Amino acid sequence: MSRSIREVRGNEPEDTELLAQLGAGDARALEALYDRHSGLVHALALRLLGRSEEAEEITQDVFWRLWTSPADYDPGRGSLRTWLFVVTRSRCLDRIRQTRRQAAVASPDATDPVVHEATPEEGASLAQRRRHVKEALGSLPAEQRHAVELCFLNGLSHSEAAIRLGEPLGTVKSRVRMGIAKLKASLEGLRGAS
Amino acid sequence: MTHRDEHLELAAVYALGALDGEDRAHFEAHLAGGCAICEAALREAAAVADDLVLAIDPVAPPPRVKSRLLARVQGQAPRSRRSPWIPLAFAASILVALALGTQVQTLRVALEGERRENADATARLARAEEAATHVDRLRAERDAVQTKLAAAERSAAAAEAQLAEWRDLAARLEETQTRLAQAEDALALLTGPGIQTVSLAGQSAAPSARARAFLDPERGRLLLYVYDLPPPPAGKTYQLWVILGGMPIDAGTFGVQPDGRARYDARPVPGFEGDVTVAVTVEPAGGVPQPTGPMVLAGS
Repeated sequence: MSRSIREVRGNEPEDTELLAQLGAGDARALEALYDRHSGLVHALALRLLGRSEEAEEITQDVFWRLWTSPADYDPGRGSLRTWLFVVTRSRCLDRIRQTRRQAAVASPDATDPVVHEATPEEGASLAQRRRHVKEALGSLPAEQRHAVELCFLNGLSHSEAAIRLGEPLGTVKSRVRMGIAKLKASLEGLRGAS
Repeated sequence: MTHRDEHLELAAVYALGALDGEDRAHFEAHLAGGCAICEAALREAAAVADDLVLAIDPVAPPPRVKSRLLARVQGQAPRSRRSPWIPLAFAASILVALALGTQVQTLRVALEGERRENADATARLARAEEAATHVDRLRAERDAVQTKLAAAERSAAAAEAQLAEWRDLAARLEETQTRLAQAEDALALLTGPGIQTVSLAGQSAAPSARARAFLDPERGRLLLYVYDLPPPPAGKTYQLWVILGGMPIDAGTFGVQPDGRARYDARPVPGFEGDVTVAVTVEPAGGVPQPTGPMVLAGS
């Protein structure tokens, strides 16, 4: 699995290289990885928490953890980007639970409220890939897209998503399954085309 | 657990890290049972989720975040190498979940096996205890039987000894009765009114031998008492003759005891009339019709 993912991620070998340097205590490697991925971490934290001070705190914490415990990330189990996504989402959800606040998520009908600002390190192939993914997501029927976004990008459990959407649990599960199947089909089609 | 279509829905939600509650428990149990279809579905959904991360447009944090991080790195204490793997919600966590599920299943199977073994052992123990009770009972019965048998053997031995003694007594009694009968017979003969007595003297073949014959002419009986007569030579016997009017009449054969004595109740001889001569000769074993051998005793 990890090999197939790497094949479509041009930057992945560099991440691996930087991680090895980071593991050896090289702060410049941490800086490089921060420059590459902090936009994602920060954007996700903003999306989930809604407050920029907290999003900044989370961003610093996530990279501090990468620095202090680099072995927590296992390259054999997926990309660094995905790992950072999961760690960030988990931290934000913890924060939300601690403060007993509702996640300040964007409503399904108002996605992408944040400013799109590509980081300088993002290469052309990654930008293309990002475009493909957004196109695939955008081509889903709205109710499937909402279900997938809530369950994945917003970190809600499927029962929370059902409450949020006012739909039966079974409907949410069915929409997620269909949405994932369609995304798979379109991403494979786009991959073949690119 | 049999794969059903609804499991594919659970796999998709699980791959996003969003499955909770009963659905999650159910699906993890299903995975633990080993389902190639769901494992493949999980891998595919995880690959999609991996891509989906890109749907989030990056938002560069303010520069102060980076400078604070780097300042913290500069002034940090020695780096902690603590590295607990926190199970993640998809790609990575799926593998962990699969591995854990397999382990859980393995442990369940092992536990179930141990439960069964335990139940088996308990059943065997119960059977063994039952058997032991039975064996105890049988032992007690055997001991009782052995005691009775020993008593019976002792009784039998005593009875046998008693029986032997009785047989001995009976034999002695019979012998005594026989002797008594003989004595009574002899006494009756000797005390009879017409009894004749003949003394026999040893002849050249046995000079020291002697004998006495008691004859009852009425009944034709003859009772012979012999003394100091040596045993006959091998293959020979003594034969008694009653000679009437010069005619020897066979009165039977007899042997002698080691001490040279003999008591012989002769076969009946009819008509003891007039002078009677009684003689004993040595004859071939079995006797002969007419005397042939040397005479050892004779008297009239």
